[in-house]
Amino acid sequence: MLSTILEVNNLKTYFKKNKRIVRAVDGIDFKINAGEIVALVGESGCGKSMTSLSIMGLVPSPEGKVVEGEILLDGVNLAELTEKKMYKIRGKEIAMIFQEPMTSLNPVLTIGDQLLSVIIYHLKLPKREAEQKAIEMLELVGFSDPEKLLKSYPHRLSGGMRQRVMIAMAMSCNPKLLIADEPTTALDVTIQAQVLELMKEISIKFSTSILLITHDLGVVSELADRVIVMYAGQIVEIANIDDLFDYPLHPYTVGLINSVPKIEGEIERLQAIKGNVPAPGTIIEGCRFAKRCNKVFERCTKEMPALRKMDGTRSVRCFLYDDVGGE
Amino acid sequence: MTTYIIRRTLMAFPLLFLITIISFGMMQMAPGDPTALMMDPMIKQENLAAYKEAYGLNDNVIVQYVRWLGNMIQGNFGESLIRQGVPVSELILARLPNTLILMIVSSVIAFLISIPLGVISATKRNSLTDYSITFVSFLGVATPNFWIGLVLIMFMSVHMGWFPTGGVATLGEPFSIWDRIHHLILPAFVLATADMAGLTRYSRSSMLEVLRQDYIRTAKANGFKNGTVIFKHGLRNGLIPIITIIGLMLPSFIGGSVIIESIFAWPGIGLLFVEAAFQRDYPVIMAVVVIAASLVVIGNLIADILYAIVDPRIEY
Repeated sequence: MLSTILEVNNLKTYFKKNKRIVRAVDGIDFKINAGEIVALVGESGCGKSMTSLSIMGLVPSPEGKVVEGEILLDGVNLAELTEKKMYKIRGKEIAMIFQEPMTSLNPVLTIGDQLLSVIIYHLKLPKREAEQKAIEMLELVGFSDPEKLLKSYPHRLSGGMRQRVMIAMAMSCNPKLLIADEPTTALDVTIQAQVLELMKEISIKFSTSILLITHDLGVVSELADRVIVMYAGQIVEIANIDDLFDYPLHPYTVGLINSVPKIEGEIERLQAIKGNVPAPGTIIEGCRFAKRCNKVFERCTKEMPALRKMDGTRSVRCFLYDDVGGE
Repeated sequence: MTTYIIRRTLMAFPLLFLITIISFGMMQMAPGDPTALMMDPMIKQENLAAYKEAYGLNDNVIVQYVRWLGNMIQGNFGESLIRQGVPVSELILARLPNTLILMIVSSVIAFLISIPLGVISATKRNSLTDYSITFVSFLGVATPNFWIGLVLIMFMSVHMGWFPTGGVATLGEPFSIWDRIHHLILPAFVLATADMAGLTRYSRSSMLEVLRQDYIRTAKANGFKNGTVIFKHGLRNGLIPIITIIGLMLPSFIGGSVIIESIFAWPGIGLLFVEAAFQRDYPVIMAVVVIAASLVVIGNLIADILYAIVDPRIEY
């Protein structure tokens, strides 16, 4: 039995927007085991990024708030920690890298300033040792001349280099969990492959768990062990990577997989999922995906299906599988 | 960098040249001349004519300008027409330090008050604090600062007697730093109010912009404390646009000092300028114009250099 690093129970993160309440994350549960790479997928606006910000305790306040639920990191509930205690968690226990490497580094501070300040702040190393550590980390992410890099400003670096610096910075304190929010979306394809490869290596080397947030199923298939599919603030399916691509259960997952262009096979129109993600804040009766679902039946518009466990590793939120297996 | 500074300095000369032509022309177009104001009305016409002839006031405007320019380039600003025999440079040198002290102290006051207020306003956006700061700022924008000066003189000096009503030092007393500072506080504060409100607003919007940036989120995700995030990662970026504003503010400081020096009887070049303008003391007016224009040019050059120091992305 693998030990659980992160356990999220019934997490609800709501936003107040024009006096209306938007349920960005609406009661989600999942676990991440040690050394595991879990992908969180879904279209834009489904609550992926809000989930990650909730875990980090960085939900924009005062408009957004974690209203309910537990976020257990090694048994400690982050949702209840004070801001002061969270300072010691962020960057040390949980690190994060972002979608936009071009703007994620401070333009007026050198790479060294930014990297060293994190190491000195969390690991309380003297400057010389911190510098040694920084050089080590930069070598690890594939820079050949780290001493020189420490003195450079971010605008001298390409997007891929900056993302590697971000990874070095995130990994410098050896976190238990790395949250990667669309880490390769802004990079070109060859660089994407490099960065993904690097993340995989690092996950193995440091036995760090990764929560990979993406809408790119290609990235998911490269990297993830397990996949969580989100739709409109809820989890609709959880599956191991092979199961998910071999036989997706939820009609939404099927739609997502079908909308990825394939190289083999005859050329035909890409199958997009009809319709759009419901605007955040719209109240939907019944299944949230019903309006766009091609297998919709009467019950779907009246009742909300529950997330049902199918077998050891698999869960799905759909009435189609009500009478199949499970508990 | 050095070549940039040299290039900018060289570019300043044609600009200054143009400024002198325009000011000289405008001054000559204004009705009256020095003789109309200083002479005994009973003076004989031939004496008046002789005076004008002696000072070259009968010559063609262009001849006068070229003569003035020729002298100025050699560092000779001429003699005052009103205080006869006193070189203009002597008048200026006696007054310039007072103006510079007033301007430097009041700009320091303006920065020390406005930038922190702007930062507080931005970090506590849409709170009561923010609204109060915004309200006071708009009040400040809408209030002419000579009026603030008069009200403060009335209240702080006349009624309460806390500060002197004007001047740079108590007459007849030996020099003392404290006495100087005591005289400086009110005029420096009032001059600062001219740009404080605007500067607060600019700092607020600049900081708001910066606090939305991705690198601020990175800094937060690295676990840095709020103060570190705002001051180390935020403020340095937020100051970049403020530097431009500071360069632009300089002319208004010089313009403002003309008014404030008049109100507080502050013997600086602003007050000198006002007196000279009323008396049509052409050489003095021109000298002050050249100095003020040079200050603005130098100020903008310093702003550009600071820009490159604060923002590593800018290279000259």
